[in-house]
Amino acid sequence: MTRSSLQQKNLQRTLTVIGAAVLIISVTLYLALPVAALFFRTTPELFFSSLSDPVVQSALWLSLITSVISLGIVVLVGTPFAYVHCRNTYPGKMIVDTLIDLPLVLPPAVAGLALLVLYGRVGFIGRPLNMFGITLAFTTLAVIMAQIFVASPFYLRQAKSLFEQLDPAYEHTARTLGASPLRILTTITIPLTASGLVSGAVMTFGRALGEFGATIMFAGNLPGVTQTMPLAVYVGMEGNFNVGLTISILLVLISFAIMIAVRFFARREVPHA
Amino acid sequence: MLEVDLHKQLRDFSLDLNLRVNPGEILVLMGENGAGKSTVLNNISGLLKPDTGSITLSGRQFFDSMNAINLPVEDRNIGYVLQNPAVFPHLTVRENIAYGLKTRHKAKDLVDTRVNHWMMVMNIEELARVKAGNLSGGQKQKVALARAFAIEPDLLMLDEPFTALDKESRQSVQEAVRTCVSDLQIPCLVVTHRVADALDIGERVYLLNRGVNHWEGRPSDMPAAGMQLPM
Repeated sequence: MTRSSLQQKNLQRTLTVIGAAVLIISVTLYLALPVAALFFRTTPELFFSSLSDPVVQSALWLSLITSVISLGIVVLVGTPFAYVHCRNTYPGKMIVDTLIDLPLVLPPAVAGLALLVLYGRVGFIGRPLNMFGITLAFTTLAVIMAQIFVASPFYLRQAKSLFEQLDPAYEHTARTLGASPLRILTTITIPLTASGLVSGAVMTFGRALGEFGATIMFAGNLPGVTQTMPLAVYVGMEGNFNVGLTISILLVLISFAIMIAVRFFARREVPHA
Repeated sequence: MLEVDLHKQLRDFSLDLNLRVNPGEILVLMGENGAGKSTVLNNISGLLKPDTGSITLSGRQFFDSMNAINLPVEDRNIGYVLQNPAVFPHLTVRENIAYGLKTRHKAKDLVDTRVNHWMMVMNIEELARVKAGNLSGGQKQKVALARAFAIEPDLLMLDEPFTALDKESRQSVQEAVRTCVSDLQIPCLVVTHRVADALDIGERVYLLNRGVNHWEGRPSDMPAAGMQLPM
């Protein structure tokens, strides 16, 4: 190999390394800088003093409580649903599969409007309920319903995929040992897929916590009743910017913790076929 | 006695089977890969449903297409060790062996007695508290066998149960299988592709080829040619 062709090869290698570095740094900065900007905009004193603001406190607790309730309902109903769905064939299964995923691509505002049309005062279900004095729209319950509608696919998809991956030999063996489907689900299937299910649950919690569009359409923006953290951020833009900033930083910190938790639980494998 | 008369259309061929296994007898089911051996066990256990036919165990009807009888798997009381021994990795060895007894709500004393007995027979007492996910292949097979024996099944079915065992363990485990089958006076079906296993444990061999009986007889009379069976 001649000296000049060697130099050319070295130059090519250097350019490739520089190109790769620029690509990685630019993508990382594009994603990280806006988040970092939030932290640079405030000071620890301002952050901690805003934390005690009634708007922040109220939004924080409302968000946490509604998200925990939503998550509880999704896990309690979603786990047996995903199990029954995976282990059986029934007419319209493909349609159900598609419907489960629909909220993932549906704009949240549309989801909120759909909920309002169905459960609002003049909605198909809302009107008869209203006759019995039951109102769903613009209540805390509406916040939970919106969160479940938008966030449940994260858990359902994960649970479905885990149950499908699991080697059927475990459940078959449990059946031959006399276990009922419920016992198999609770003693074999869930424990063997637990880490993945927790990772799905954490994602669902994160999505519920960040829910904005469907909530504002179906539950409104009533402080202390339906004003969750993302809604309080929006209100803060028009009024007290520091409040919005503090809540945003809180949401960033929670999101970060969620992603770390998901990575931790996603490392464990399901015993597959 | 186990009486099986079943027909099932599989993807490449149809399974047409007619076999009898006496109480206390070990029948070895042999055949090339894909001959339908595991499918036979799955049909008898109820994990798969035959298209037509009947399966009867000591007068109890497991399946009868004429009378639309299909007893659920969990009610057949079969000790079935699948090809993947499927020990529950999140449970300890003791919990694995006790699993079938606990689902049947047996008294704690009985559970302890049976579990201790089979751990001793299988020589896995020192592993009692070890999570099954941490066991070697051979240890897993022993746990799976002990778990199947512990429920005192009415029928024992073992799919390649000795593959991960070394020579010494294999002899003691085969002895345990013989003892269990003889003590409980139950029929036993063993699927294997090893001629040596058939000679060691089988009282009768049933050669299966593409879903039908190719040859039946004593292991020592097995045809040397005709079917390619790996030693």
